[in-house]
Amino acid sequence: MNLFKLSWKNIFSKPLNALLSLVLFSLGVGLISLLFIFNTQFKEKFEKNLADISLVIGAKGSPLQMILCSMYHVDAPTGNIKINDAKAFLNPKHPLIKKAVPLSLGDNYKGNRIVGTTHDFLELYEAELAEGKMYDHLFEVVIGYQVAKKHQLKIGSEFQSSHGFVIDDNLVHDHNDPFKVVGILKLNGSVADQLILTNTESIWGVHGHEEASAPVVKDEEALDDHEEHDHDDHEEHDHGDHDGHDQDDHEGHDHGDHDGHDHGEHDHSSHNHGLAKIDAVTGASLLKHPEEEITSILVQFKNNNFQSLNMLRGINENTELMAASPPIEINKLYANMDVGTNALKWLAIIIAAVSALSIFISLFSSLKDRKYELALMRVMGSSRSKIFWLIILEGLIISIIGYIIGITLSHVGMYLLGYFLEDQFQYHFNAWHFQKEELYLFFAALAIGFIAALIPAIQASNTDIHKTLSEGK
Amino acid sequence: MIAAKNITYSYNKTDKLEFPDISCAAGEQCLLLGQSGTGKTTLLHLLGGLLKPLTGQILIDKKDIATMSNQNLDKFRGQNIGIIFQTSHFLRALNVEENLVLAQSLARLPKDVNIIQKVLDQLNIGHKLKSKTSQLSQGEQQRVAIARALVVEPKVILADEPTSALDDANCDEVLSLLEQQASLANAALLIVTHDNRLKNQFDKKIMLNH
Repeated sequence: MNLFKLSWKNIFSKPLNALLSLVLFSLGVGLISLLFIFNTQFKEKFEKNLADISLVIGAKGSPLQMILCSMYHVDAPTGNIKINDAKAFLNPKHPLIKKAVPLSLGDNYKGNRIVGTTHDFLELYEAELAEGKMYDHLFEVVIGYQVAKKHQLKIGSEFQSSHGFVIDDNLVHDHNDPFKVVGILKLNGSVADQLILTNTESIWGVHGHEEASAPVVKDEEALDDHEEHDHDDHEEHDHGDHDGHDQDDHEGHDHGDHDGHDHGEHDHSSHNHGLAKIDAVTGASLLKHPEEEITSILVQFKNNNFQSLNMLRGINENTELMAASPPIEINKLYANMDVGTNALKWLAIIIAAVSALSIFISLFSSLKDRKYELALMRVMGSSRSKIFWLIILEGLIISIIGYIIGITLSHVGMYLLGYFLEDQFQYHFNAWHFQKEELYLFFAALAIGFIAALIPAIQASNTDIHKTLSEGK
Repeated sequence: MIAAKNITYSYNKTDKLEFPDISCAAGEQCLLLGQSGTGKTTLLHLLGGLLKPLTGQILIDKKDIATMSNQNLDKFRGQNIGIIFQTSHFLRALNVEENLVLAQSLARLPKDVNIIQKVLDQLNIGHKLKSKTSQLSQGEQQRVAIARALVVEPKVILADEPTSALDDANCDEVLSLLEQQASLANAALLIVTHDNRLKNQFDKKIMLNH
């Protein structure tokens, strides 16, 4: 009969006491571990998606909202900007800008956003095609790995987009040509996994076309929305943006779409069903459509000197556009998030402390009942140190089992959390990724088990055999 | 096998307990008789190495346990001395067999279930091997306690009022089993008691006076 087996039998001869200690311990460990996993993965994803983007330029509003929308695809856009207003930044000859990637947002397919952009987008996120080719015709799309997996889309699959950023059957653009999948990206861990990429003109195409069936009155209302609402009402606001966009079409060249004398390609595409070849594969080519709108521009600088830094202020002070620096905004977000995680961390630490206390109390109170047993063990030849380790082992066994249950709980919890967050945050969380903090947590668990058992163990090993046996008669 | 000379013990500075010299050879059975308060249990604990005497010598197998280090004493006690108490106590988390295996392992002996089964059979409780100790009757518990003292094959068996909690029928049976097993193992058996039922069954009697 070794010490381990004896400790084990002792613990589980009182299953309810053991259960209480185990539940508390595994809750503490589970919560701490879940915080580690979530925090790390969340920040990892955020940092991966920073993608060396120095500046995001869009419509005035909340800078954080613009960053979240344009880089992380979680929030609604702050509005749209006219290409004419942003033409300086799209110009490939701009002395400070290495790369400017325009984004046009506003549609989704079953919750995954459709992004009208240029081929440069892939380079920005270091994404690569797994199969197929890049889009070069209207309504062709390249889809992220997780999109293909989730909706079981393959090369050649076709689908209708729907308006806005949430799943809503009423908002499906069912009058349009369907989008056709021509390429699927490799899994790369960035937000690109969750996106449907197409060229900017296809987005214009969808909305230009829709305008034909949308009543004009609605457009005017929406235009009002556009002016009155800021970004506090996203749903309405989006709508405003896009209808506003339609309205612009109206004023500008939109009837041209139908009559087919402004930009013919666009037009043909909508009516011909044959997918017209497009030329807007670079930011510069958008400059041919100065009256059209885009949502934002992701900018990479050639180098981060003070001129580049001044550009942010320059844009915000001197233009109708807004520029925001991703690292600054994300740090603000972290700061907010840290308040929440800190509170949870303290809660977890308190639970862990209570569990240590529960182990201590259950060992300590069992000593009273077991004093005679321990004295008997001494009579049978057990040394003091053996009694000491017997009790310590009981604390350690509880902490090890509690740790195992807690870690399992946290990963299952992360799996469930990831399942719910994936739609909301466009992220795929990996619930089964283990990290070194969990190893540290193991040693912390052992330490807690040891400390909780220390006083009872000392007390037990100092039991006076003679006194105990005389009293125990 | 066991011999005590001039042992005294003191709980405090004013009172001192003095005990008569004792000797009990291998296979021999001695009765220590005394009324309550004469220090019977203290004497038994001194002889069993659970207490250290103030003065004197306690030789077991020619080794003086009064001067042994605590660690050596623990080991020596486990291997050479079997102690049976007035009421039996066991590790509640363990069954009969596991309690006896624990005794073997604490005495640094290899686990030997055959010996355990044999001893239990001789004590007529072989069928209780897998029972929980709390489910045994008092007579059965006392027999398991005897078995626990015997499975380590000690040189000395000390019994503290082994029969006082038992009825007459059980008293006779347990006592005769104890005597029988002690002589079978060729161990010195020392019984401390005030139970008058035992007085006439032993030749060698030592009276304790206060």
